Amino acid sequence: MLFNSLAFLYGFLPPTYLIFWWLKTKKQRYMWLTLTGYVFYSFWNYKFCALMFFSTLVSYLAGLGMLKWDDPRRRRLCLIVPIMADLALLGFFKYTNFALDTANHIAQWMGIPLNAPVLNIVLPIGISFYTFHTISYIVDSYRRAITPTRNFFEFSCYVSLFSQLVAGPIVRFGQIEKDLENIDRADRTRTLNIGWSFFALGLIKKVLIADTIAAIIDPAFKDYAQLSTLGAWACMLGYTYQLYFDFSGYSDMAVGLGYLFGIRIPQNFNSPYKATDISDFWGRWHISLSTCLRDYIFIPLGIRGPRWTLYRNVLITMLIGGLWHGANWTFVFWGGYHGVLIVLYRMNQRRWDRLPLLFRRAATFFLVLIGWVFFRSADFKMALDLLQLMFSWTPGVAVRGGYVLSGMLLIAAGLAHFGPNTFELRHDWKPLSVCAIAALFIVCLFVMYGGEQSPFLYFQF
Amino acid sequence: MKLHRAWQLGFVLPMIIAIAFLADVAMRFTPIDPYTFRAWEAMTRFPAPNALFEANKRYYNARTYGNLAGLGNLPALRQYRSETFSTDAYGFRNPPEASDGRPVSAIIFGDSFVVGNGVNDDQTLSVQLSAATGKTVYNAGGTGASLENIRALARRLKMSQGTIIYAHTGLHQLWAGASGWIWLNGLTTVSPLKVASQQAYRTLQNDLLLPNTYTSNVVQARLLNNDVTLFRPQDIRRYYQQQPDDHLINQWATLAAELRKDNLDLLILLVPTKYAVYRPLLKEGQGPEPADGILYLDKIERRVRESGITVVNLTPTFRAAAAAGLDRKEYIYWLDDTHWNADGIALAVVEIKKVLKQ
Repeated sequence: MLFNSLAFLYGFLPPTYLIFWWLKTKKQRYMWLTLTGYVFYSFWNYKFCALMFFSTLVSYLAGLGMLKWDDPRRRRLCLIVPIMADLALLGFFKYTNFALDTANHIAQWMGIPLNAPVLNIVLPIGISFYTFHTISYIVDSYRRAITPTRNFFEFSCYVSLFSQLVAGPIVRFGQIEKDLENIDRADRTRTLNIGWSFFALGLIKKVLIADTIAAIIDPAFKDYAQLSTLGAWACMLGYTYQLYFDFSGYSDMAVGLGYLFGIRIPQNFNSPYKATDISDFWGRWHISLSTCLRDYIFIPLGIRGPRWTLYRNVLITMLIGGLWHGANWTFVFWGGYHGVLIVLYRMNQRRWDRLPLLFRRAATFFLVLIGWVFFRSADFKMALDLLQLMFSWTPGVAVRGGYVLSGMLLIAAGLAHFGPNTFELRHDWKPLSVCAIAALFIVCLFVMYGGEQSPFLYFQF
Repeated sequence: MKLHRAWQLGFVLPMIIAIAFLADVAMRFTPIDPYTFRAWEAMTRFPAPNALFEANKRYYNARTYGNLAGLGNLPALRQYRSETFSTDAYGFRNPPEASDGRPVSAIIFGDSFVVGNGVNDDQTLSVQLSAATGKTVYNAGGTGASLENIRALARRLKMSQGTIIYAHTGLHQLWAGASGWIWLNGLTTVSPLKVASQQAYRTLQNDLLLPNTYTSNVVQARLLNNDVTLFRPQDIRRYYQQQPDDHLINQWATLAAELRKDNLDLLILLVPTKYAVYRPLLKEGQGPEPADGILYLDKIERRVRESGITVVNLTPTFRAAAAAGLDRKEYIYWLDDTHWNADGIALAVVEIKKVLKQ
């Protein structure tokens, strides 16, 4: 079930919302949100609900252990065992075939007959996200950054909250702990308008901008070898904006849905294409992931010591970040590419920061766009072919729907580079703005009825 | 100053969702005929028990067009024609006289070719065969030709002897008879609002505004006379790859033996696909003929004859007629559809009549 689906708008959201506010006690509301989270997840594959429950239970028990024991050895056990369990699940479902495939390629290169069979493993949707939720809870409990909860339903509500379950943002327990504690005292009317505002804007970004661009560039990418240089640039620019509006649109919808239930989900995108350097970009793009990578990988690796160790740790962190996105060497390369860019920036920060603002923003955007070539490509051959098309003049076929793509690129560029993001808006709309948003919402409904439903890009991670 | 509730998104957007939902539900109780481009979808929404179509329903569309033009979203290749599609009390496509109690001489089973997809009521195979033979022929197209179905229908039509004609096109389609909550199924699975929205959205997918992502659903090919015709990719694949299924032929042999006990004769009618007929008349792009040089239906014909069952293979006649009519742009299949037209059906009737006389 997708947020941009009729089943969600008609069948899931209304009863979930109405019954939630009809229930009065904390426990009832925790249980209801937990139940609806599992129902939401079961629409993808009900069998994997057991996996999520297992991860939840293990992490909850680890939290109880942290509460009970002060002994460093026992606390470390409560830290390591559940994290290993979570990573084992993630590793098995997400990376087994990647490892086998890589082993086969290496063996082939070395002339060893290996031929390890590829297993038929279905990737449980959202596993990368909810395992990060549980891991962050365990680590924060160990570090005493949060007080673990004794209430199982409060914790399971946190893990299975449907608004963030399958594609983030990666919300740490401490970020919504207060809202969860006060869930029985939440003010429905105060957050109603802001919630719907976020949700509507997110839906418009996803359905009208991201999906329209996707409808044009996806067929072109299927036959990318036929593209001209201009076509390749148009498609890559399209993908750059599609990814942003798709993912930030989803995050906005998640934030809006959180508000409808009295939970404030933190910002995940802060106008990343306005970044002035690559480090600034990672402070604005998928903020929940980049802060997790910083707090749970980069900082533990060590932030003191010689510069080269710092740079090494940046590279390791970004390589892991790339690998998190998918079981493909192109993602790892993409992560490493950004790691190298961050290191280069750190080495030349003073010189870079003296450059004109417009140049820094344009150059940062250009570097990020090049990285997206690897992110989008199925393999290195496709990435290199696309780069060759982009950087050596090639006549080719025009992109079908080119006029609409041009228009969408202008709109997307205007909004991404110069417009306010949803967290910068007051969400206190005048009647004319309400009419405009309502009209666009109706257009979204028309597209949801008439077009082909497209999932959110980050679902595959 | 705080705005009135009616001007706040927290009120407006849920209202829009509620109105859209109610409109969707309300429209489901209306006929979908105005939203359909052909009869099939309108007639199959509330099927009669053990039938494919709604009983006692009449559908008329002055501007219907072919399924392939629809599948590929190709408005420029549509061949507009009118279509009248009527069903009897049992949910089959027959004129009133076929089920008014008069003796039935033959029942025809098969898929959409037998149903008469794309032709009018008076042009279907059963009606043309009735007119040519002077006997009543019943159209049971769209229902499975199992022994139980055949016997049940023969009993219902009080058919004590005669011919059961089974039209085989190479597709092993057997539609299960409708049962259970037919009405609820028809309401929940078909949304007129969705259909209308999809049609409107498809007009935007014209390769100018948005890419037409449906073109890969069909294959466009040019005939020797420069006309463009459409095929289904699977029909082209089957032409080159399909082999006779022994299990199917054994089933027919068993069926023939059982029907003889009821004084019923079985006649297998082999109907070639449009690609099988028009392949020799295409300008370019066709693959080599099958390695052994024998077409799928020719192999079926041989095996069926060896089983002692009467068989009519339309492939040679159709190929000859298609070639003869090419220069005059006279076709026996619709250019924008998978199915034969009235002329193709008339040709089939001639061949069946020859065999029935024997």
